[in-house]
Amino acid sequence: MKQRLGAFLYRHKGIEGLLYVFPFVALWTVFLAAPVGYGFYISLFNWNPMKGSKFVGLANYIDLFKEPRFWNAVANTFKFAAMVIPLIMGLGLLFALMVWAWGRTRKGMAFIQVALLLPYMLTVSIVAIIWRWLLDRDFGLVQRSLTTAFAEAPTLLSDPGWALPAIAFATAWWLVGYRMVVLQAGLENIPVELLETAALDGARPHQQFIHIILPLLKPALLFSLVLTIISAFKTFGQVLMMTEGGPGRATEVLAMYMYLTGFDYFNIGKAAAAGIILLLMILGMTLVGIRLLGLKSELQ
Amino acid sequence: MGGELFDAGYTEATFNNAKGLLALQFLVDVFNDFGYNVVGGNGPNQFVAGRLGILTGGNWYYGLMAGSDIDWGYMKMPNLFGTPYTWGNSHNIVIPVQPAGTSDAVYDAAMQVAQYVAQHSSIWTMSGGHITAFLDAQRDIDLLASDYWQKSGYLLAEMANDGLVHFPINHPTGSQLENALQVNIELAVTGQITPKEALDRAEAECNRILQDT
Repeated sequence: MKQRLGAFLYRHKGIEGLLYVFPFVALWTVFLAAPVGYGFYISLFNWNPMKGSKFVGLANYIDLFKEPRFWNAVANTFKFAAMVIPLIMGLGLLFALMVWAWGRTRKGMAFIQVALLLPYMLTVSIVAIIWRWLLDRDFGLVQRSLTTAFAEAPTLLSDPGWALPAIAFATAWWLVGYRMVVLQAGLENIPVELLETAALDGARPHQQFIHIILPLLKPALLFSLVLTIISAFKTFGQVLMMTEGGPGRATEVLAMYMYLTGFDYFNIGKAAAAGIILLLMILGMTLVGIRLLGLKSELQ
Repeated sequence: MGGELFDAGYTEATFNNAKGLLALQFLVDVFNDFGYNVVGGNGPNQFVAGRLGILTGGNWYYGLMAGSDIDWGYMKMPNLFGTPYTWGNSHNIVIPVQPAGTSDAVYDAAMQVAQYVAQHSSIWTMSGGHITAFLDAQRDIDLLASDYWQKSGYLLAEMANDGLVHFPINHPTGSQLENALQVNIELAVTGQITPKEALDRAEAECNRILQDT
């Protein structure tokens, strides 16, 4: 029996391959593909399991496109992503380079590394509470310092122009440590000989960075970028706990809008439609990121 | 002032008028002129830190106040515009319609649970800072003897029993309508738009929500 099975699998190598990936595919289907498919299905209905749902086709999507509040949420999501992605990637790379370059030669780098990574261990609710207190108008260390330094300093979380950047900064503080670790791992994989040879040939540090480090760091950069894009576009917890989308709707991002539509206004079909649009936005932006980094092999 | 936010049939907003403007201007002035609260400040935190003279808030702040070091007390809403109304809201126990064929025994069991919760709602009143609507529970001996009731709860109960608590929005889109009002009030209070602009925007948004229903 065992021999016959082995011979069968030998003749049909495709089936063998499928068996290897089956556990992953099964989990992926149950926990990702099926929920997304079900979400799309719901988005085509005026969903009301108690009284009976009614098929409405794309009406939920059309309703969304006609609603100024939805477009405000989309704009806020892009604004937030435009702030937080460069901030996280830039600081993550800077810290990774710092730890990588100075890690073996300067004291205290291990402590700095741990200190930078520590916020990532916190849950979003703790991060939001910490920053809400830090930015409190009367008792917050950051806000009070700002007000002391600049008499006209805005109250960050209650100023429509500053609330979203403040949340972006808190998010960067939270997430940058993990990006640092990923990028640092990428840096450790760069052969030292390449850098030494380049230095012998007269390459300056910035030339080594641009022509050797960055190209060889692309896979780690891509991984970090994809994670950051996803985090940025589906940001929710920080907004909910720091501003609840306010002041006004200055920080109401798409995930927040989706939550309110689904669980506060009980318009589940419309919320599902917003979720599908958010999914497409994340997918599109991730592909843009991959294209920008020029990693066609990873894309394939 | 006797105004209402919406008409009786919830077909349109009715707050965008002189009375509405006066009420909103009062709210804006509370933050920007009167100093009861300040823009961007966390009122309850400021109050327990002794930085606010008056906090307009609900009974659920009792726990926070009781744990603070300040000398404090509750009072009924003052008579601002002719009648000392205050906004109120309610928690309701809802028994959803079950699938066809569900036996009456299931509904009976659910109603027994609901009745039990209502009869013992004095416990929630004492620990949650709410006012039980079940009058027998309002007369519970432990509740009447509690610090919460003697210092705070009886005042709101009197207002509720005297018909001075106004329950604002009773409509399937109530949360959306409240949000439309809240965000525009916020913008007016923070000085981003004028009270009149806030009323115009809120009216347009509320009417759109009501028309889409």
